[in-house]
Amino acid sequence: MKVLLEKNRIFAIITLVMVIFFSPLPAQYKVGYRIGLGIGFTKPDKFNDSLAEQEMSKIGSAWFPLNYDLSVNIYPSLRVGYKKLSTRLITYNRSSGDYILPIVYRGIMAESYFTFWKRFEANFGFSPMYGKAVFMNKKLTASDETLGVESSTTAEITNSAFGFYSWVGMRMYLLSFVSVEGSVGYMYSKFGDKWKAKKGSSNFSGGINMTKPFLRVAAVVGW
Amino acid sequence: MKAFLFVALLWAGLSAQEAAAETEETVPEEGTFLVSCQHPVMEKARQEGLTALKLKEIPLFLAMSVRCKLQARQEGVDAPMGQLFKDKQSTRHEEAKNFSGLGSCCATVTGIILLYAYLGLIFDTWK
Repeated sequence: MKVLLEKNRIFAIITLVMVIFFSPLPAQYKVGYRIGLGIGFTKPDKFNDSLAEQEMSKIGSAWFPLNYDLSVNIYPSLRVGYKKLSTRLITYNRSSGDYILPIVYRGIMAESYFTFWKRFEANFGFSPMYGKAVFMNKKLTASDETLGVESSTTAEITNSAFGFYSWVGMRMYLLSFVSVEGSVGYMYSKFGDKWKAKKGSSNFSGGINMTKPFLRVAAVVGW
Repeated sequence: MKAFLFVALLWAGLSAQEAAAETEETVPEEGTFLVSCQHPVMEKARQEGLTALKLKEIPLFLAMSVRCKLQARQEGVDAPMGQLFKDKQSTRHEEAKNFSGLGSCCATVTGIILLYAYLGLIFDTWK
């Protein structure tokens, strides 16, 4: 019974979210998909101190996440959607011994905009996000002496943080369905000192402060 | 001699007819029926504009417009689509010229947050 109630509650929440976000679709359906590259700055001093203690090389203080978002117009000059900033595909933050630090932020976004000079648009947006950082090594091998086989394995510790990203941008429409844009923004987020391991605990500690300016260029396809 | 002249005239006439037929092929024909161009979605887009298309109709419209272009090229008929897209862009532009309600609220909140963030950054750097 308890399980059934729990399942129904999740179903009710999902339905409510769907109704809120998708009910205006038949009236105003304009959708847009944005893909771009951002540059953010971090302050990984404590994290680097921990790396130094483990005799590992430091990671850089810039991160270049790919930016994806899908948005829908729900009101004149206002769009909402799902946003993702990720360095999982291409990770530049590397330490020694094949250790990498992909950081992924996901969240909902709201963006208001107005158009000017026929082809231009100014936009203002914000996005509360949930971030996850993984310090990992995917190039480890495990061997089994009984069978005499080797296989690859991954070692990883994770950290998570809430963030808030806001931006002001300008978009230029090249065609009615293709445009390019650039934006200047600011990210508020901080990964705490504690890192979690999948099994057991990790002695590794050291936070990463992500609260810094964030710049972005992107291409947008929309209807 | 008369027979030679007759053949020459006949030959010249035939060539002239062929040239005329070739010219007619490249001239646009409005009456030509092209299946993809006359599809109901295409008709709706022409009559009510691209903004009137529903979300599920858009992929069909895009597919049909490509097929229409290809068919029109094969038949040597002109089927312009550019104006539809231009009209859509100007409609959207007119719709979003001004802020209102939630839009202006969102812009104000974002502006204040960014102003606060960058002023903080500047003054922090100057300390």
